Amino acid sequence: MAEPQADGIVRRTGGTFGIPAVLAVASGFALVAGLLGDGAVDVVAWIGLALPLIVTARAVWHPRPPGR
Amino acid sequence: MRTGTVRTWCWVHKWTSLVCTLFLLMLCLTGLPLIFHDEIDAAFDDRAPLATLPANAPKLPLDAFVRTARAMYPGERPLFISFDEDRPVANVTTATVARPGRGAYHLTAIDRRTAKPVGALDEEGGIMAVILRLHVDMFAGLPGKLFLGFMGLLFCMSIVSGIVVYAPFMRKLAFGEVRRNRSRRVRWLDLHNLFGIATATWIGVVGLTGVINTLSEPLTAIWRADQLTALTRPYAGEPPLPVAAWGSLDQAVRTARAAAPSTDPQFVAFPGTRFSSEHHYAVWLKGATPATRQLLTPALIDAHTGRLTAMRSMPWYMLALRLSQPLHFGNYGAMPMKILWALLDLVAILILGSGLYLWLSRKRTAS
Repeated sequence: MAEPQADGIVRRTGGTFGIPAVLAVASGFALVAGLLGDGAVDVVAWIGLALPLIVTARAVWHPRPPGR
Repeated sequence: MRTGTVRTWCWVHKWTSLVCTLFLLMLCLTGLPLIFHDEIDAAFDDRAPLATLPANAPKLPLDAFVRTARAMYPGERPLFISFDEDRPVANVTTATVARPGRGAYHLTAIDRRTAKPVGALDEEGGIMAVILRLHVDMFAGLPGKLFLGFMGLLFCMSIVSGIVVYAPFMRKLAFGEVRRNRSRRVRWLDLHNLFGIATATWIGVVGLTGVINTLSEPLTAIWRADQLTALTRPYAGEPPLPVAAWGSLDQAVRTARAAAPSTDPQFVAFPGTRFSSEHHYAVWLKGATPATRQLLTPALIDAHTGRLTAMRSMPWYMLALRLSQPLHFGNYGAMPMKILWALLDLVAILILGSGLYLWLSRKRTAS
């Protein structure tokens, strides 16, 4: 995903804000979805809100080996 | 982005954050137990259980509950009646005046099947009440509330500027990359950036809705001046309706529900209170989904004749205020949502703490 260029700047698919945008949309959708109903919709809300936490925890505890 | 622009945004991020950080830390710490307020209250609930009656025991008329409360506090007038969702209990607020100060009223919980008083939760006592007041206004009333609202506004600006400066800081890094082989400060910078960008939406929404919640009193005052006055214009100039001239509450609620089918009253504001006019029972009706449960519609019933005067949905600013409550509290998606709310709150504490640490440790790297 990350390809270091000659100038040392990392160019990657989606740019700097690729993954953050996905997380933002997921948690924003989750926050609104939960308001619209109970039951199944709540599960959607849980998943959307858990996503940023899971991605963060992965980055902290399972760092990508350097050079990839 | 040009270097000058980046520097400006960094400056905005630094100062908006620094001014509000300690207050935001207090808000995140007190907010953590408040997420579980209901569960904690239930755990320490020492009220006597309700009388055991057949499941189909009929509910008595609402007027009977008002009589019960007024008999307990002679000389006081009823202000509000509200309804518990999890038990057949109505809560009647009474006081000597229609707009009492904090604590200058009585709340009587009444069994709807027997019209007898039952134990009410002591909402003004205990450690949770202290935590709640710290969180809401730091024991400083409306000025304290508005001050925290301003801190929240700075916090929102710090989130926006944080997102902007995320880009130049991450120019040479992949998402989630934490430079472990560098100094502790660099490691915490990377963690601060990761936590901040991953949870920006949640933190932004909870921050912004918190700010809106601090405006509840001014917004309600605007609603009264703007909409309520217009709806009750025919009554302008008439003296306030004396309590003795009030008609049946049950009749008023029936009229309101007939005007808005498939709604339930959440509470009724009696004449003279902050949520009604001087001449009306304001029956605040709620819908059935978590969103429409919040979007209350007031039906104004002439308290003397029992006829419907007007019913109008709340204006956008009151809807924003009402929706800001669940979005701030995280109480609309059962226990898993509360746990997620708590975890995200912990991440917010880490962001605030690491931000403070990055500022405090700045000199060492600059030299």
